[in-house]
Amino acid sequence: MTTTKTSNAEMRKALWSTFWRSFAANAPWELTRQEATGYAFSMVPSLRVIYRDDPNGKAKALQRHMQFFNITNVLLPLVLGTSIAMEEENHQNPNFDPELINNVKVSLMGPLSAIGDSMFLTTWRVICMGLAIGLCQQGNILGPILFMASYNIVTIAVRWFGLKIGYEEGTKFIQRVSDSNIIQSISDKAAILGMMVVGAMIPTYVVLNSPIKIGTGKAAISLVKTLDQIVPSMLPLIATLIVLWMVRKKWKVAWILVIIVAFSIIGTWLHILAP
Amino acid sequence: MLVKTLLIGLVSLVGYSEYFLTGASMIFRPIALAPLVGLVLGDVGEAIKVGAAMELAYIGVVEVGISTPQDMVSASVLGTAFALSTGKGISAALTFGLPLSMLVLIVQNVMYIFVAPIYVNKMDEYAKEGKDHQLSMLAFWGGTAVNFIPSVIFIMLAFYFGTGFSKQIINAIPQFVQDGLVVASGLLPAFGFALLIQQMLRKDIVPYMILGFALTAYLKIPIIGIAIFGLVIVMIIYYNEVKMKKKFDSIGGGIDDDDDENF
Repeated sequence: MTTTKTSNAEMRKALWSTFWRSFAANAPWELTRQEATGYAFSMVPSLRVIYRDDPNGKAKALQRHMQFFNITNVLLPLVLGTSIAMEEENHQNPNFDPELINNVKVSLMGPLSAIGDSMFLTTWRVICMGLAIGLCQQGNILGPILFMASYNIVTIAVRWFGLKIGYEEGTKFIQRVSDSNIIQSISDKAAILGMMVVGAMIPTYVVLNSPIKIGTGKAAISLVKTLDQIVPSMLPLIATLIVLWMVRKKWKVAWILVIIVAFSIIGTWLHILAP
Repeated sequence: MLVKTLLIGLVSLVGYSEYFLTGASMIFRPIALAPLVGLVLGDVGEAIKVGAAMELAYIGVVEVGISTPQDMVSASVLGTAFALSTGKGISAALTFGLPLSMLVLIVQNVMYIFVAPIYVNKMDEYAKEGKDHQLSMLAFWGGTAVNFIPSVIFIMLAFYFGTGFSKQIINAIPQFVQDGLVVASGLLPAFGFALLIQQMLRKDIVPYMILGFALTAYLKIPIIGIAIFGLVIVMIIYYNEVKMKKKFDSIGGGIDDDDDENF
C-alpha cells in the first residue's frame, strides 16, 4: 500500500499545489504563531488527497498544522514534504503516533532556519547583489534583472528539490541529516564563503572620505591617502569594526542607525568628513 | 498624478508580494523595486542608480526570525520616488525613506497586534471543522488584506501628498545636512556588514574575512572573483574532510557506521 507514493498522479498534482502555495505562505503571517497559518494553508491540497475519505482526520491534521512554526521561506517546502509523507503514513498506519509529525517539524525549525537565513538571506543574496551592483550603478537595466534571476533560479530549485526530497525520503532524510553532521557542515561552509564576500565588500562599498590635510600649503598631504598607503581602505575597515563593536555590545539597532546618521551630518558640518 | 499614485500603489503591492505571493524572492529590495518606480515616473536609468545606492545603504536589513528591522517596500518605493522628484538622489531617498518606512512599520505592527488575531482565530475554527477551502481563502486574502493593504494605502497617500512638497522640504534642509546624508549613505553599508558579520561570527572563520578584505583592498578583485576563490577554499576543505574521515574510519574501525558507505 505504501509503495504507490509518487506514481500516484493525484498525489503528484497535490504536491505541485503545495509547492505553489508555499510561495504565498507568508501572506497570513502573524505574531503569535508566525508561519503556522501559512503552513496549514500550504498543506491543504495534499491533506485533501490524503484524507479524501476521512474528514475527521483532515480536520485533525489541519489543527495540527496550525501550531506555531517558523522557518526561512526557501526551506519551507522541504519541511512540508516531510510532513506530507508523515501524514500519509498516519492515514495508512493506525499505530502511527501523529504527535511525531509536529515533533519533527519543531526539531527541524531551529537548525534549518539557522542555515537558511545565513545561506540564502545573507550569503547568496549578498553574492547576487555583488554581481549585479556594478551594472546598477551605471543605470543598466540588466543589473536588477541579473540580481533577481541569479537569486531566484537557485532558490526556486532549492524549493522544488526540497519538497521532493522531503516527501520521498520523509523521516529517513531527517534521521540521516541529524545522525551525520550535514547541517552543521553546510552551514560552516556557507559561513566561510559569506565571510569572504563580506570582507571583500568592505573596501568596495563602505565609503568614508575626509578632506583633512596634514601640513599646510603645497606640502599638505591628504589624510586618507596617507592612511591608504599603510592599508588600503583603512577608514572603511575601521568604521566597520567600530560598528561591529557596537553590534556586539548589543546596542539597539535603531540607535546605531541614529549614531551613524548623526556622526555623518556633524562630521560634514565640522568639515572632518566629505561626501 | 492620480494614475501615477495608483501605479505606485501597484508597485508597492508587487513589493509586498515578497511575502504573499513570490516567496521571499527579494522583489522587495530597493535594487529590484527602484526600476519599477522609475518606470512609473519616467526615468528608469536614474531610478536604477538610486536603487543601487539604497541597496548598499540597506544591505544589512535582513529579516531574521521574527525581527523586522525596517519596512523595505516603503523605504524603496518612497525613497526612489522622492529621489527622482527632488533630483537629489540618495540623500533624498534616505531623508524621506527612513522616517516614512518607520511609520509604515508602526502601521503594520498595529495590524499584526490588533487585527491579525481575528482571522487567525477564524482559521482555527475552520481547521476544527475541516473546512479547508474557507481556511485557504481566509489565509491568502485575509492575510494579504490585513498585513499589506494598509501599508500600500499609506505609501500611496505619502506619494500623493508628498511629491508636491518634497522639493520645498528638501530645499529647507541645510546643505551640510544633505551632504551629511550622502556621507551616511557611504557609511551605512558598514552597519550592514557589521550585522552580517555578527550573524556568522566565529573565531575560526575570521581569517576568511581578512582574506576577502585583503584580496579586494590590495588586488582589486571583483566580488565574483572573490566568490570563486571562496568556492575553491570550501571545496578544498570539503575534500580534506572526506579524506580525513576515511583515514579515521580505517584506523578506528571498531565503530560501525553503515550510513557512511552511501557517500
